[in-house]
Amino acid sequence: MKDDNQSGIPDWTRRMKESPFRQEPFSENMKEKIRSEVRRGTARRTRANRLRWRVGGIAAAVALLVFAAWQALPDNVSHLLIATSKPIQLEERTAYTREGRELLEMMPGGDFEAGTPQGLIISFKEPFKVYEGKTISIKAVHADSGIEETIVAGDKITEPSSGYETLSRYAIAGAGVPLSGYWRFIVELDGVFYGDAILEAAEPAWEESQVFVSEPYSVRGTPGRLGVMNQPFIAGKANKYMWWLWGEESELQGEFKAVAAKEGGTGLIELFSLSVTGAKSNYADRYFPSTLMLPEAGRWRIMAYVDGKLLGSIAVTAEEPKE
Amino acid sequence: MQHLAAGYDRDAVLEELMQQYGGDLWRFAYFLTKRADAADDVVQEVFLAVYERMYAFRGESSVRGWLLAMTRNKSYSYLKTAFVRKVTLMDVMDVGSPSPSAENELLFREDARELWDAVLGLPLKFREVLILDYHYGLSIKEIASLLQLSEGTVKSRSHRAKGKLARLLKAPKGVDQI
Repeated sequence: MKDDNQSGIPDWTRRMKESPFRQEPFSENMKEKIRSEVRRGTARRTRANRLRWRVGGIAAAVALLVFAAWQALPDNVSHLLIATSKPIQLEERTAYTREGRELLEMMPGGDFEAGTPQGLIISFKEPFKVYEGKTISIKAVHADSGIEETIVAGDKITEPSSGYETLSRYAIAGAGVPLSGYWRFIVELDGVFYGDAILEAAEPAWEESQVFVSEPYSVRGTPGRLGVMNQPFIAGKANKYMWWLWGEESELQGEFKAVAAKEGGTGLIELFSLSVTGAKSNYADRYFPSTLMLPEAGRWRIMAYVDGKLLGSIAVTAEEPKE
Repeated sequence: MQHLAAGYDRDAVLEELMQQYGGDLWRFAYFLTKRADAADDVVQEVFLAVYERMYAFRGESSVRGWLLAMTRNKSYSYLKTAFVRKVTLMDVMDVGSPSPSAENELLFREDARELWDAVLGLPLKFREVLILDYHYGLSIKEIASLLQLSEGTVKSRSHRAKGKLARLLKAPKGVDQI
């Protein structure tokens, strides 16, 4: 219907193609105004971020209240990956001291890097009777985004660390966090704040994860641990991807969840979750399908969680869709 | 839009989009709101929103279609608030907006004025179909997806709009058409 240069079609349909304006009304002035609005918006956000750090003290107090409120919520929302409190503080601090006495010290085992499960050792300093019979829970809050992770959901203390008189070497196996930057690890005993520490998670490498063969398929991820079907990700297009998980039976029970962070971004998006991942199969200790969609082209890190614990991550590239 | 592949250089994407579509969007906002100041505001809002939410572009429509749809949404919300303002203030004071045709006279080329005065004289739902069809050259399918209407509805609206416009263009000059 677009070629109207034929008889029987009114002349105005052709003339409507042209702009009626004397001058291009979207001027260079307009463009400059938009550019300056964009810059103002960016500056405003940066200022807001700086201010957040300055009011850290107040935020910490508020956060305590928020955590108290969290206690009242049902447990099933406690490990949702949503922002629940304000950023707290911006300096690494591995020990917690109250009234001049050190109560605990936190030591990551090896490099503490975002997207990788970490060993974490906490050395509790008070006599064992302080901890005996109590339930320890630990969560981590990301300073930049307020995103919260459950590190220990609730562990009842029955005996001292082996070879020690108290809980001198309380070890946590899967203490990974999904984003780089400062994380505040908060330790609670029977739901009451006991102490905290601030650790900095390093930026992980953003090279695409390796591709390997898990007969008969080509898989991207970490051999013997975690993989996703090696097929392209197209930005904005949902597609079916198989997952391969390997590990101890105890690590693989519970809800599976995949979230993703974009290189250079600050937040996480939820990709997929599954309440039951089934049982060991011929292909892997767990093998199941998912639907995944990455909204923007670029490099993404997909993090896999089982039962709220980070199992590992896979770096992939989402390609621009072809028009 | 090829910049989106990298995902970071939003400024470059913005420049490209303003360069390529700024005029299209401004005109569309003007055709819908019939006010230059409203078109300025609408287009600015559209580009700021685009800058913030570039990743929201899903590739389901053309970039141009996506931007036109945003421009239409924002023009409609302008019209809605302008309408509310007008009805609530009507009894109290004269709102005194410049008459659209006066602004057309200022902005439109002389040889295009009669036609475009008539187009802008059409009711909104006919006007937008006609403009997307003949000014922007969108297909019926694209118009249907942009307006979230069925293709059949778009076809019948377009047909009726053409009839109305033909009548308006034939109407003797000086007769006020609503």
